[in-house]
Amino acid sequence: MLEIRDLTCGYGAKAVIAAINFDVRSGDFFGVIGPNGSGKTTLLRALSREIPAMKGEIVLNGQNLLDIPQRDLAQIVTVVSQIVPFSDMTVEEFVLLGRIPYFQPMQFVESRKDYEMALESMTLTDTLRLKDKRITHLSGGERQLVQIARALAQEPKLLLLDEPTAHLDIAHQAIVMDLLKKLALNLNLTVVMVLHDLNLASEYCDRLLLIDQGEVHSLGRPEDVIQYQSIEKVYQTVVVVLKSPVSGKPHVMIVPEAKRG
Amino acid sequence: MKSAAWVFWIIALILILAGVSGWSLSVGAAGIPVNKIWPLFLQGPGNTEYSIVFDVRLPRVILGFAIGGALSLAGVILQGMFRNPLVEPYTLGISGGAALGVAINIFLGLAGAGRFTFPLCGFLGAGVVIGFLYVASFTRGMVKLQGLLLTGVMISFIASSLVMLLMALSNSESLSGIVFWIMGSLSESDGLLITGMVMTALLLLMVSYFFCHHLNAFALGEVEARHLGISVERTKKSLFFISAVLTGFCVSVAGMIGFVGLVVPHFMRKVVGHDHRILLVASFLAGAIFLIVCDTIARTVIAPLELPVGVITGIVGGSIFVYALARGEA
Repeated sequence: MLEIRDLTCGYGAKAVIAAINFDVRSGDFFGVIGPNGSGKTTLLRALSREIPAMKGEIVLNGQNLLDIPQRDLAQIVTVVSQIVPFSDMTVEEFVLLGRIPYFQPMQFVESRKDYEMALESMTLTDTLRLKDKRITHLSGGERQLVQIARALAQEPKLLLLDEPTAHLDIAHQAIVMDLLKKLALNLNLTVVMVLHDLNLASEYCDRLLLIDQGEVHSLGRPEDVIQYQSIEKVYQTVVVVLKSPVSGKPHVMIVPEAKRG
Repeated sequence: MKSAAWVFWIIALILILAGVSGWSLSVGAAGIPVNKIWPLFLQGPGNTEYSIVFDVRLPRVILGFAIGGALSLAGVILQGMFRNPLVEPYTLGISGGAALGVAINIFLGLAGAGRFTFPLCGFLGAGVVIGFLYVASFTRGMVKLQGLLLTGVMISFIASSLVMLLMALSNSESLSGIVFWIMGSLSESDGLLITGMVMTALLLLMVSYFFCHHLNAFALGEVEARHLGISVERTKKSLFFISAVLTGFCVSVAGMIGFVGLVVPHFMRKVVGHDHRILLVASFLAGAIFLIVCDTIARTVIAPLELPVGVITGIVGGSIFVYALARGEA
């Protein structure tokens, strides 16, 4: 699905990501982890073509990302962000915005298919009950689900998410991650997300990419990537890694300074 | 269902526009009942009442329609593009440029050269500012919207200071000329200018309608709009030019008529919603209605004397705005 070749990118002349190489396979549930400032978000912005590559290339389905017209790209790749719209629109209107990449040049009103797709997206994300509510009146958890609904209305093949569980309580974290996992499976979506929570990443993702100062530290199954040696080295802190008694996936525990030694 | 509501609003606004226009044609120093206007039209030219209605009042109504609609449309476009409800057509300094052009014209006494010198100088002034803004903020194919806004506000200040300088140096005759022009008026009676203004306003309304989805996507921000498949840079340039030309034309023909481009889009957003597919058309019509009403008040309230219409739009628009704010509706 995605091949990242020698990718170097950043802001201005400063490279945040340096000569990175990895692949994302079709159907992957792919997590990007790493400390603050390691370049996770920058990588995601390069994947969504928000910032250009300084060197190297990103290949999407065999085509260089830069060669894909904006509208075609929007029909393949969708970004779920935490943007609050300027105007106080209803949830349904917000979700319908996801249909913009499918409008024909002289089409000013949504077609039946556009409404059906919006309805389906809201059903899948359990947000249909919020249809007529104003976006600004939603709770953080609801808003995240509505963002995902809008992304789905765009009928993407590749879903990019920047910290989809930020500022959510554990129940909503589970709701969002379970939903994404289910969508990936049922709609055959490829999902690439930046995650701060190592345990969520370990529990849900098929594959993880651990970034350290703009370079790939390790890439593979959670069992291989989340090992205390790697985490301690990359995050510069003391941790213990144990297996979850339920899933057998590695979980990271912080060791406070007073208990070290 | 949504489009049914939109059709309703458009029909309602057109009916109000027709009603307001009829009222504007009938009131004034010589009151002519609305039901007498059609017979007058059938009789054709020849009597005084005909020329009051069709030669004096009708051009003002038509010009009010075009200018009110154009200013309000420019306001909607700019507010949508900047995601800022306080931006209005005059924020970008285009009107300041036009005002300076006309002030220079009056100061140098060029008006004798022909009837078109005012709008021409106004348009030249506006054009210089548009060109400057373009060069200053459109670098390497990118438009920095915040930079554009700040540059525009600064140009406004510079231009108004220069206009004041000219006013300080003027004799009293030129001074009152500049003051009256700055306050705005719909008394332009040249048929060609009025036709040109109407054509421009309607044409750019149509052009801007092709950007309705773009403007809707801009509500989420530039980055999100790009993710929705929109060529953001091209859109910003096009929208900038549409609103700049609209503003330039309006200011050149009618002077500075403030508040229409700020208040009307704001209110229409409350009334018909934020979707630009209806908002563009509704704001155009509502702007036209608002300006025709204000102009009619301006020329009747202390008839036969006439108040500058900019004064009325400020007082009426500002009062409604403050009232709505106080009731928590704005």
